Amino acid sequence: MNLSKSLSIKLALFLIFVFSSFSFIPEGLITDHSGVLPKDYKKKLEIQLSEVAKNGGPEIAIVFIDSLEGNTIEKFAFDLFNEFKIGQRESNNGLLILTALKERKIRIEVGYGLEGALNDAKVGRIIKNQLAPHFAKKEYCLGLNKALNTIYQELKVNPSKKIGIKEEKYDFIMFMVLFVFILLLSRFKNRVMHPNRHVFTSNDQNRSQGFSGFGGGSSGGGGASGSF
Amino acid sequence: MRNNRVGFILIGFFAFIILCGTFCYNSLVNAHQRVKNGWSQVETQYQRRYDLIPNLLNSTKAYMKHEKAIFEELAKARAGYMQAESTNQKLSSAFEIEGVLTRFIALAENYPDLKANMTIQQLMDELAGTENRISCERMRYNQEVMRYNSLIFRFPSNLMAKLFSFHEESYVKSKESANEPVKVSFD
Repeated sequence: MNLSKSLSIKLALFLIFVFSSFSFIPEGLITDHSGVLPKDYKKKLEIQLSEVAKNGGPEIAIVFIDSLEGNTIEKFAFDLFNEFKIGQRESNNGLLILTALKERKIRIEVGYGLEGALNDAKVGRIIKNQLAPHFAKKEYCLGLNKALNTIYQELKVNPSKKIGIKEEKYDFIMFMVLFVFILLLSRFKNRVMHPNRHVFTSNDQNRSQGFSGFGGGSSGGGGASGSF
Repeated sequence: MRNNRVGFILIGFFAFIILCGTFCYNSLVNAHQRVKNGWSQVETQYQRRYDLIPNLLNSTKAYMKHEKAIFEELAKARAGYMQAESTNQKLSSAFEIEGVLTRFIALAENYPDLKANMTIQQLMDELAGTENRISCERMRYNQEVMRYNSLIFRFPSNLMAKLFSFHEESYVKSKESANEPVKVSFD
């Protein structure tokens, strides 16, 4: 009995592991598997984006992926948008900013409901003038902030909390220092507390942030793409 | 007493059959409605492309003076779409526009002045967006057709489909390769 129970738990864990490695799970409004955004920036931006969405504004999702694995960015963004169901079901006010780091491609996919206010030409300009130049210099926060400000202006949204950007380089160094520090600390802790434990990634942390999924919106392939 | 029981069973049986039939019929009607709706979305996007073409022709004319032939071809293909009445005609003329548009964009890429022009850049973004929309809506339409067609062939809904003459719908595929949008890249 005990044996079969532990076996089934192992099997379930294995299945979860296999499943999670193939499917794409949103971490929240911001999904950054590649870890290009500093943690505190990500946290602040997540709060800002969820506030905007809560106050009837657009539901904006930001996703960084390592590679498109042979897909076109248009197809990937369309599938992701409609899989996540970004935006509210009735108003379809979702917006996805997808960046593929290996292919150096950006796409902003716009939900049906925002197509009028944010037409493809405007979105194309946001990519060309704001995202691409900064992303090319690895200034992801700066690029995102500028792009989001333009999007807020176009959609007449006033986020109550503005996110100030310090010098990106300074941020980056601080981030690296913190990262190394945390890494050392966690290794030390692991060794002391769980000497033989395997490391499994889980999204418990995301659950604690209270992300309750997207609103059920859909898109029809509107938006624009660009390279950086 | 026994007769009564048989009667009840028979009534129950028929009620079950009627219920099943109604359910099948309704799901067929719904699926067919979704196919129709999907097609109207595809048509909306075709119309969007159709509306963009005059703008495209006007703003690129000054730069591409030596490419009169393709301008005429594009205008002709556009007029062909306008005259098309049946779904099949519309589809074939939309494919024609697609073909000419692909060649037009390939030609336009040879003109560096074009790429520098802001208005044309924006127009190209709109065009790229429209092409992507067309391919997405086509994909959605095909998914709906697949659902509907499988209802037509599957038991027991195939019985209702035969009874009320629901016919199989055809998929939309672009001529060269399925769902491959016209490539518009001016980077």
